[in-house]
Amino acid sequence: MELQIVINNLGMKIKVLILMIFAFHFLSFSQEENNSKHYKLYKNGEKVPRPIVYILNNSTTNLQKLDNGDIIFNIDNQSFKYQSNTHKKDSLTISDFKKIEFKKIKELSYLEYEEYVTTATKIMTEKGFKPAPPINHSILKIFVISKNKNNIIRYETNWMYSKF
Amino acid sequence: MTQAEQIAYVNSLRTNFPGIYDYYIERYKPTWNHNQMASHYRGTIADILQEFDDFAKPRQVYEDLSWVGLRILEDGVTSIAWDSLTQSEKDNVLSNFNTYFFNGTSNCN
Repeated sequence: MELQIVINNLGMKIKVLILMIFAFHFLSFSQEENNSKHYKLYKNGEKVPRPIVYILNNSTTNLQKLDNGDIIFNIDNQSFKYQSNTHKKDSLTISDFKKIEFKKIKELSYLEYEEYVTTATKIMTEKGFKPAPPINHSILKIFVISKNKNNIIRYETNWMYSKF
Repeated sequence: MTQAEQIAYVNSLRTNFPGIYDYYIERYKPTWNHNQMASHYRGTIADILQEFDDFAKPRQVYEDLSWVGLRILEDGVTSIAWDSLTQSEKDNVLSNFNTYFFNGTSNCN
């Protein structure tokens, strides 16, 4: 009898685990609807402009160039990926560079958090429900500015993940 | 996920994974994931350390070492779970950090 109860409990836990895996999968899938200019906090929800954030990379040692032309920037324990087939890359003049307001890497999580809270609160007011926070970094649009002497390049990137 | 799917998803978290729900939904902030791990997954981390170390030390050592990455979070602030310890408990953990983590023997090359 006790064994049967244990088996039933185990079965229930496995079902719940499978449900959670599917839920995370669909949450990720819905976030794939996001594009370079907008994000959504739920499927068919309102498109919200992604705040643009500039960060500076002035080192050549913390980037990884892949064979397909993609580049991964590892800056202060965060990774940003430039995808050569989908992202834009252009050169900047010194004058353009000087006009940019850079953010520190440590600020990114809080900028992302504040943007989520603002949008989620608006949805709560208008729709009566609070969407779950994104499980990936799909809210901010990050541009990495790579500066090597007077050679300045702006890379559109995806904020991939954090390392601790 | 649609609005209805998100509501079902959050309700499912609340019912089946209250620890995740608590930090991911109710107390969401940039350090939610490590705060949640500090509160609910230190036992699992201790299990892994213990097994990796062939159960060579008392259980308390592994439980104390499970705090290594979960005491001070990426924003430089101590985790919610750490703040709930008594000073005596904190002192014991830090003592084991010094004995086994910072000054322990190492066979790594």
